[in-house]
Amino acid sequence: MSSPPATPSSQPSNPERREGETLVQLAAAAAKGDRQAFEAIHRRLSGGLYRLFMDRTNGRVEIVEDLCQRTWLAVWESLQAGRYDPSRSAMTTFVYAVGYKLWLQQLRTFSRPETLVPDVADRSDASDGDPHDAAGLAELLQNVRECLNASGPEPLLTEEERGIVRASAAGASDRDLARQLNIAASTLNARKQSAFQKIRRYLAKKGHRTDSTER
Amino acid sequence: MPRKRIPEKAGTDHEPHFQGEFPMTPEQLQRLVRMAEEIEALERSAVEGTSEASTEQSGRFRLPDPPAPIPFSTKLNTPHTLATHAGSRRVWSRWVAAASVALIGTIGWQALQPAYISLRSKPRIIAQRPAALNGTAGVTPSQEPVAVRGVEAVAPAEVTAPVMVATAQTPSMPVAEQPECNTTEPLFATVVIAVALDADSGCRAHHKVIHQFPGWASAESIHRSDLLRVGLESLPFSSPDGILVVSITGPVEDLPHTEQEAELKLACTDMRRLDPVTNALVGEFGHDEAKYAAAMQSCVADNLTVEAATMMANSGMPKAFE
Repeated sequence: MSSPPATPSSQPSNPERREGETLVQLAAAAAKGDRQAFEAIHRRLSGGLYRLFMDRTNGRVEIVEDLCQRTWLAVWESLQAGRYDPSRSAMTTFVYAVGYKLWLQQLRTFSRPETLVPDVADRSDASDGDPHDAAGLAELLQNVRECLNASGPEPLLTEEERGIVRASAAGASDRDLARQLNIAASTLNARKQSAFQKIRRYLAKKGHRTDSTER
Repeated sequence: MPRKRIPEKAGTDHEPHFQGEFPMTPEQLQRLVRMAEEIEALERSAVEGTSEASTEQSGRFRLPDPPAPIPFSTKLNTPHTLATHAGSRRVWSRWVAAASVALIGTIGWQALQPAYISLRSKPRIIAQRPAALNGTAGVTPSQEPVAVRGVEAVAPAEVTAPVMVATAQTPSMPVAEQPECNTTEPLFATVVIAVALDADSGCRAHHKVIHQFPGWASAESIHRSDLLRVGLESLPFSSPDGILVVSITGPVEDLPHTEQEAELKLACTDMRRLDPVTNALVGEFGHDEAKYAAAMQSCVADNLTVEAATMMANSGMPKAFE
């Protein structure tokens, strides 16, 4: 960037006037440089983002505040730089992706290298954790959300598969799930693998690849 | 934005299992699912209007008050003027941490101090309640310890004259038998009353002693020889010509505690019915110990058990008694 990005505070705003608009409308307006729209987005999502960071940092307020500040600044700069495409991911997903990258950056800065594990964000982006390039992660997450979404005309996963995937991600063991569903553990494992395979194929169909530099 | 399609054989030598699929392990997919759920939670918070933050106009976005509960409630009482200053939360966090350390230190200091002992309070003696005797359960112990008295006068002089009354003040053994600071103070005890006659000196003595037999909780466990031994040892003279020993066993509160009470029991027994001429101990009851026991039993409470034993020198009535 040749010039410093404009901040939302450079002009007076009245975010209350944008309360009636949806996040999609606000995101589209913010992507065009509408500061009021961005402030309205901030007004709606800042609480949830704060809570998210509180959970991740075990309530360390100083870190949470810093992460929130940097997240919103990076989101605004990404919007100004045209890195956010409303057609590829929701604004919520994009804000989350930016915050997640910043959190990873925080971990890499203050944690010992041997304690870090490869993250999914490393696969989705070749930007080495740059929060301004969170569009790839946001799109990946958006596609995963689509896989888990049951409101579409043709849901990718059945209701049982969605439940298995969500419960498995939440930490439930195959044995417990099999007992709840009254099926054999091997059957449940087969269905879980089948659901994962569907998600993988869906993501591949959407163009996600290991070598994200090709994107 | 157009996306590049993965070729049909996307798997490499390192990832042979993901042909035509996005190469991710189940663990990575699960992590993506968790992240997607977090995004949904973030979206729900926006839909539900839980983020009521206000944006302040400054060089950077000012953080609103957090909607999530803050670990320390003092943050809620932070004045707004302080909250607007950068780093105010750090100050309050340090204040709260310092207060916590002080509180923990105070508690720890108090825990290390010796416990306060009131000099005015009486020591508590936890009595070990023994089994009830003859169905008399739940008897409260007497506040007054069972006294061990010395030799007492039997009767007024005009009644028992010319019998001399020995007044030995120190009984030989009962004091040593009394427990000291015994937390297992018995609720039941045995009062032994010995009536003896020394023909040589013409002394007649009554002794009331307290004795704890090994099987004190049961009157039947008092052996006759033990009863006589206690009676003989309590006498001021060594070789009485006749002795009558009566034991009364039962709850302490029902036993005779004072000399006067013991006298009343003896009077009730009507020892004066003994032969007034010879002043013999064994009068109309003869050597029938059961009669002495029955006579005493009628003068005491029903929950008390009476045993009696007599012994006469020379295997018979002494000459003085004949």
